[in-house]
Amino acid sequence: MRVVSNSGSQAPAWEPTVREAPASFAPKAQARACKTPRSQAGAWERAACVIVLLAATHPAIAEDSPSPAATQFQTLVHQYNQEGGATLFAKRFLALAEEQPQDPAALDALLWIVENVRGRSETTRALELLKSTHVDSQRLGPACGHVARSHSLAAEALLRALLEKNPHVEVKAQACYYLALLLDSEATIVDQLKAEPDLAPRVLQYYGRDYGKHLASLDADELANRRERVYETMLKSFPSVTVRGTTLDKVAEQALFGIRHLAVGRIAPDIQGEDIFGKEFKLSDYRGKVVMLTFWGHW
Amino acid sequence: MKRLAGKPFALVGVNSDEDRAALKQTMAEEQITWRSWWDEGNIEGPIHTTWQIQERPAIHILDGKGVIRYKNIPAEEVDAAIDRLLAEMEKR
Repeated sequence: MRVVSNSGSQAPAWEPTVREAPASFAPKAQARACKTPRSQAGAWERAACVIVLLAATHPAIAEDSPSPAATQFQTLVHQYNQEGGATLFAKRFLALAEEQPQDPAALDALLWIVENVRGRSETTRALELLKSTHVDSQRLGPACGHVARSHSLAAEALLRALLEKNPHVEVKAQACYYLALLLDSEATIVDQLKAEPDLAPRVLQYYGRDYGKHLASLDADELANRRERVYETMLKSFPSVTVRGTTLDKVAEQALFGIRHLAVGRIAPDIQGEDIFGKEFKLSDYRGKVVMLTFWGHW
Repeated sequence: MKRLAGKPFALVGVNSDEDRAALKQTMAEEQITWRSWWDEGNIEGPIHTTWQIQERPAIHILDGKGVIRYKNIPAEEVDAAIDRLLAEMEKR
């Protein structure tokens, strides 16, 4: 199985890490499992079992034989696995999705693009089609992590549309979580660009011209406001949903504290406690002085 | 930091060493004079947790009003940042 590639270039060390989707949401495994030729032939019992398990999310599998578009999709996946070259294949998957938009395989094709190709015009087009045609789909939940990492201007719009319009609460929660991570990673880049303006050409190169320009144009304060609003929504709407082993109320509370109290420009939270010799003192004792606060130790 | 003697400046730390007694000794040996909170010998201590410290050492610089002005600043940029904030204070 191939990893998401960006025309073969490696992530620079300063790229913020948008965390991986949890294994339980791994979209590839799920999509492959239901589409392998194994499921169309052979023992009926086995097929029936697969249908029972997967029919809810993959209506195509309930058919006796796959649609021409589904077969085409399988053929493309197979060819790609043989030949590689995700950016070339993106055009072909996109053509398939655009030629037969009503076939369930169109959704497979669009998701394939988002999972395998970042920062290309095909990526943006796929995200736009997902937003206009598949915003109700339950299958978009597991894809949200890939959407957030797609290096496209259309990613935020799709995640916001899912958050607003998707009927499934778990998809909304995923969209909210990954929208927040997307904005966090943008904030990290904005901070890095502020600290090192020389990075600008590399940002354009790595994130592509359109998305790179967008990143360079972002205002740190305005972005902080948007992040705060997304985390407020997370806390209010999905507090008990668990993503990657943590409930979203914890995720949101920690992020909101960081945005409100630990960002450059905010009053530092006070520190009060004993020094090494057991004597109490506090950070606010040093008001009126420039303070260098160092977290240190011998490791 | 001697050059900053007499200026409105303070260096304080949050230490996460496990062994408080050994730390006292190291501080004496290495002539570490800055005052530190001891964070229960743990990077997951309450102060590190509140401050969401993910990497150590981490250096933040606050101005005279207690506002965070630099976060996770590289060691080689610390002097210039402190000078900038001291100059800002003198202007007022």
